[in-house]
Amino acid sequence: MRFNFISQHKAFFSITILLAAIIVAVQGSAYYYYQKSNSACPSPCQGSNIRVETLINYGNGTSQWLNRTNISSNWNFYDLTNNITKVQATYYGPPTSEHLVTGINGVQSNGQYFWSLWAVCEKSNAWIATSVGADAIHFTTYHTLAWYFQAANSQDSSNWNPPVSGAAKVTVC
Amino acid sequence: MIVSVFTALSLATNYALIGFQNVKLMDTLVFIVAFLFGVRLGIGVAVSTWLVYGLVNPNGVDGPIILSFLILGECFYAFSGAILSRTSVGQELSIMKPTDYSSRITGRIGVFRKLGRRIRKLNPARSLVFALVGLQATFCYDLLTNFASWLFLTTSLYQAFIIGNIIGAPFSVAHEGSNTIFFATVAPAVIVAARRMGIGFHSRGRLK
Repeated sequence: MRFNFISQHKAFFSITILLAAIIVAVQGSAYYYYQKSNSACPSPCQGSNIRVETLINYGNGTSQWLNRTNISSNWNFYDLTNNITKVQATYYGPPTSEHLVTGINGVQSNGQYFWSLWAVCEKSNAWIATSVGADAIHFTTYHTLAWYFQAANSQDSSNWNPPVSGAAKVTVC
Repeated sequence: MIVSVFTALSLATNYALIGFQNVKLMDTLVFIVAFLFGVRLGIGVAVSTWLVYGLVNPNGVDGPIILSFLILGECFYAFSGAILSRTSVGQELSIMKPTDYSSRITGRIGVFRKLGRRIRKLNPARSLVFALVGLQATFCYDLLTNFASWLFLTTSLYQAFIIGNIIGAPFSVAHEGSNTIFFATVAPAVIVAARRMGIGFHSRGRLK
């Protein structure tokens, strides 16, 4: 009966299967491109040490700059944060395999307050709220980054304040 | 009544699955409601579920613009359910009887006999149709919502579409994969059960 059913509706099945194949191909390509652009050691990767400056702004008027010059270029920003601070995070497994940072040095996210992630866009010399998590940030693009504990009423990062009061902010780097 | 029951079911399953990113039964439930009861009720479930889930969410609250795109995207499931139920394929699917072929594969060994019987009742052709429709609706939803996430963060609509859909690819893969499985298993089971209980358009013969 099911073979009769499929042969009775050849056009329907042909179109839907063709569309499904296109979707699989498009989504597979997008995923491949995403994985390639977020690989652990993006080009150029010489395994050399680099300098990264990290600002931790606790949102209560206290902030600290942590400068490290011996960062391996195959680290990501989560590795670095974990190395220089005491981090509490929730790990999400595949497909993203990322950490949601919920606390830094004992300051935990609560209600509307959470740790936002910022970087200095070297092109425009202004802060930008990063569009990806700390695990996906490698040090080929950004060398000055910040964690800022702040309240936000919306997920639209263009409404957030930069981690340094009065500093320039951009939405596109 | 139907909208409130299915909204409650969607919300309960959404919160229960909160630890699994983009794996939700809600889309399948919206599709089922629209398939059985029509597009208006499907949209009702989609809107009311997102109004609660978008505003009361441990992962963060959605802004009004993102929320409207999420609601619009969720309505795709309602449209696809309603459209499928009105096609000849959809109408035949809801009255289709179990096949007798699967026993050749699954029913020979004792322990698998019961499982084989269950698979026969689900009918692979029916599951295939729902899986394909579910995959397509989910793909449209992902394209729209990934685009919306980047709408105000990029300089052009084209950039928002491309960047959003590449950065959102892992989420889309999880969403489309899980929805294909849910549409292939949960949707036909519920629709067959509803028909047996005399619930929905098809059981009442409104679309004959």
